[in-house]
Amino acid sequence: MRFRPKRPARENATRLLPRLAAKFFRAGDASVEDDLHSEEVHDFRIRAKRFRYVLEYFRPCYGKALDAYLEAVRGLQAALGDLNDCHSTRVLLQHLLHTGNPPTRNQKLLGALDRRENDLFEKYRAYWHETLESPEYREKFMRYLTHPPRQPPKKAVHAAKSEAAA
Amino acid sequence: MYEQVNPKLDLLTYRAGIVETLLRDMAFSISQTLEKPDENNVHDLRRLCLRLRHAVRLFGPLLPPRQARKVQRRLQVLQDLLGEVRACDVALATIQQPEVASASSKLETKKVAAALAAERRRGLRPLRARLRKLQHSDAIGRWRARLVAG
Repeated sequence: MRFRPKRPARENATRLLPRLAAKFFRAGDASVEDDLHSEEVHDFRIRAKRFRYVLEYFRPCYGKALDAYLEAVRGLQAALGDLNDCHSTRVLLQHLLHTGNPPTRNQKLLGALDRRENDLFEKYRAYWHETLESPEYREKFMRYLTHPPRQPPKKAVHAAKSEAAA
Repeated sequence: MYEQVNPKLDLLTYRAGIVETLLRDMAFSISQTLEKPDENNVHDLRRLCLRLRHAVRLFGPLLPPRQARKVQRRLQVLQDLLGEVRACDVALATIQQPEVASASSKLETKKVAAALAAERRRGLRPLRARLRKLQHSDAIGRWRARLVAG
């Protein structure tokens, strides 16, 4: 996407984020359809992370309501992160145990990691289905990204607070 | 994290605010990690490094291309070094999870943990050297001049 550098950040955000969100949902749907060791799951983990980074960069352009959506993406990332931690541990141990002095084969440990990876994949799938799959949720999220509520000017907030205090 | 950046600014100024925030946090995190290269500090610095790389890539069209590429290369080297140490920390934590630890004897788990700790120490040496170099050469200051002022 081409940025409009001279235009306000908020305007750029409302053009960029809905497109990224659409891609995020499409990639997520593909990742839960596939099996654990597919490229889709790994690619999606990276995509989800980047999506969250962009949401965070433009967080000041949206209201506090963005935090709830950010939390949902963070939850997803946590599930994918646990899965990746387990996978990278297995890969590292396979390398370390086979090249160690003396070389050993702790098959029980590697087997346990394999089982844990499968469990975590199921957890991730469940999270996706429960939290991010509903069309209503997606529509609301996309609408919010495209048309964030105008944040009231600071003076108005101050006036409202003093009124409430009185 | 970026609350102080004003959303009403034009994107050019806004992205400078984002990059500036990341660079400031990174300078702090580098000194923290040099002082105490424990699991948390290494993790924090790695996260910042990932974020900064991403920001430089995302806002790439708004940055001086040669300078951005240079910074990207330096960050990639740092991220690889951090990744090696982080992988050991993650593995150490994972093998101690009850679901995993129960599969092998305490002695076996201890042996694996010792191998991982040794691997971490090996990974830490080049990382510390790189961090010291970044700090002594005021790399963050130069990156700021290239990316924020550029």
